[in-house]
Amino acid sequence: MKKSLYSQAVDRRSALKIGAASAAALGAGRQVAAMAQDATPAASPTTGGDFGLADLQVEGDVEIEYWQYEFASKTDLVNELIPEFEAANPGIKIKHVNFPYEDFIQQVAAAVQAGEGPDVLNVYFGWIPAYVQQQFLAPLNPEWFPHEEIESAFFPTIAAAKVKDDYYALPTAVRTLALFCNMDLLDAAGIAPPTNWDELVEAAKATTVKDGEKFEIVGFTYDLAGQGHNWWREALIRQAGGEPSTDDNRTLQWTSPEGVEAFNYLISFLTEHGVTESGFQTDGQTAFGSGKAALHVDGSFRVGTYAANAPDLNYQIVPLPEYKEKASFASFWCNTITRNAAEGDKAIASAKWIDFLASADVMKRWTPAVGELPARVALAEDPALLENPKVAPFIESLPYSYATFMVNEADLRQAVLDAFDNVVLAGLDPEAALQEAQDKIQAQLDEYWAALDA
Amino acid sequence: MHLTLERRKWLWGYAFILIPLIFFLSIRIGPTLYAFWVSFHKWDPIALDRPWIGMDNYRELAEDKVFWRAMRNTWIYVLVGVPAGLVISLVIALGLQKLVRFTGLFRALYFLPYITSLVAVGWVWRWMYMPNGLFNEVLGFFGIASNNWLGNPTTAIYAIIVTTVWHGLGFQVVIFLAGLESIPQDYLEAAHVDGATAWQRFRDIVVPQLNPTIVFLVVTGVISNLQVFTQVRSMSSQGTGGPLNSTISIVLYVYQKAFASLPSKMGYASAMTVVLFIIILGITIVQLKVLQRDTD
Repeated sequence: MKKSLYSQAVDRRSALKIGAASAAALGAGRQVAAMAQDATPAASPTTGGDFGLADLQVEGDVEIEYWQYEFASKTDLVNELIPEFEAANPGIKIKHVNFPYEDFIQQVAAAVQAGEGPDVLNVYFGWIPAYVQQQFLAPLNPEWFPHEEIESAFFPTIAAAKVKDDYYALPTAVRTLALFCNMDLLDAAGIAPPTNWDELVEAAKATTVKDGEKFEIVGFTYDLAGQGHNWWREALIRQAGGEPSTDDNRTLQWTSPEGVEAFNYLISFLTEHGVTESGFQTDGQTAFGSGKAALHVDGSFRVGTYAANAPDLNYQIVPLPEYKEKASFASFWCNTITRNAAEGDKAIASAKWIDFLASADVMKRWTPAVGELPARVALAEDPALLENPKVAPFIESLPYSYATFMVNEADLRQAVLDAFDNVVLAGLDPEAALQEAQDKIQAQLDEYWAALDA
Repeated sequence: MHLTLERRKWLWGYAFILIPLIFFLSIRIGPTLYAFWVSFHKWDPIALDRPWIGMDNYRELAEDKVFWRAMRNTWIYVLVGVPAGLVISLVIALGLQKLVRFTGLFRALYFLPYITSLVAVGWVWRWMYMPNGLFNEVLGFFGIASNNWLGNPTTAIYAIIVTTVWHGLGFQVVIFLAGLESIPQDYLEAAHVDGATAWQRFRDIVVPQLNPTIVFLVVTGVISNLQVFTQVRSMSSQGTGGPLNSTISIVLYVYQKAFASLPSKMGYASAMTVVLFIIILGITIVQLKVLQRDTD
């Protein structure tokens, strides 16, 4: 497998030169003659990505702006990687720009409106469809990044980076959901971490501690606004044997029998089993972090939070409890090329940069440094990465983890939260509440696809 | 050119206000007018074209249930929050005025919340409001069942108003104290000699004399409550004006549509700000005319 990929890459090199030349020519037609002379590059540098773009050369010196939000472990590692990349790719300079996560959407919008902005942008996968609709992102050149290779090399979550026939991003790392178990509380109740839906209910019941009507310990966190909405949509529905939407991402299936069953299962913790309450310790991650919740669904990124803020917390992580199927939710930040770098040297430099960031070598360093999981299938078996028992269950979940296609992330999230609130707080019938949420988001999807198909 | 002293003074005066004037035109008035312009477009900062769509944003607004919910909530913030703040701060100011010792200390104590960041205040109050938080703990002593104050669509908005009133008290107390000190003691003493009761003195001397102060506090209070944002953003469940839009304010909704969602609906959000601008302008004009009628 590895060997064939390698030979493919070698074969492609000659083709790449032509591809590079023609792409550059699009941007700088005057320089076509010069390009032709330059099409025989010197010895290829070693530090490159896995898509074999090492031979792709820039015409002159070029600087590209790389934007990502401030997150110390990520920006530190990228600052370490930039000199290595620049040394291996003479003529390319990377300008690393950081800004607060809270301001992400505003910062990018303000810069673009002012006629500036990034060449390569690190974005949340859920924003890709919107940016594509705004013609802000350039599709990945399929000659440089062949679709078969993307699909075989990365975990299935990569599907969320594709809109219609084009891929728009490559991730360095992904995150999945799993179940956090407070072992002090589970041991005290004499039970093992739950592995399926029924066991989760039993474990939550066994660990709940109440003083009269008041919760001292919640058996399970009820936090839709945290990861709950993702857990329901991509994990619970699929575990119940359904799918949250059709494969072409055009039609939602939230109101399917499986969708309703999953919805009712989640709500039952609150209404039927009496093992949790909304707003306990303000939110789920705080409740679990302060040792006042026995079980909690959260993402791999939370391990780092607890390592820093709750170092004494005695907890274990197990894959999400399953039902008829296994499933988890995946999310990722990924590198996209914007329309600022759609052509010429910037396109080449940007492609090489995102190839490098999505290479197995970088991923191997990324997981220990940042805590996110590798995005390449080949690394799922990497013993060094599986060594950490707090990371292994998340990696294990990767082959059956799904990222949601969303055209308006904020509205989608709100619609799901409102559906749950409408049942719990306003006493609406679950199916009616789900129908209302689905109609709202389906209308957005219809509008999106109509605009894109036109 | 020969300048008279008078004319030179006049020129200097204008030279000095020129900078603030430029500042106001470019930072305040310019963007306000620009928002009017944006509101007639389908305006997405990132998209390549921003077509003119006339009144479409306003038409969409008229049918947007969340917008009307935000409008209604905003009026609750104003109509409950402003009177409550005024009454409580006047009572405190009257009390503080009577103090002989430690006056500085007490005034500082009441002013402290006002200089605290509203975000920090919001988060601390969130902790006090949570189901197993301080308030429920205290109520539990009296046998009152606990309530998730911020998670309950009926109570959430009032819980936020309480925090807002508490936060703004210090400022209002200080203004009231200044107003109270400026009331000539002669009036009160004369009324006292004539046999007026404390309530009569308060009603017929203190309140009329405080009229300019009250006008000022009502106007600023109404404006700031019409623009309520930070506390809703940091206290409402999910920070989005929930649960079920029971706390969402117009400004928070503007923020969500313009800045917090992708794709951004900047034109639509601008239309909302234009509506809010017109409301605030209208109210301020009416307030200044009506409330200040018989100050003298």
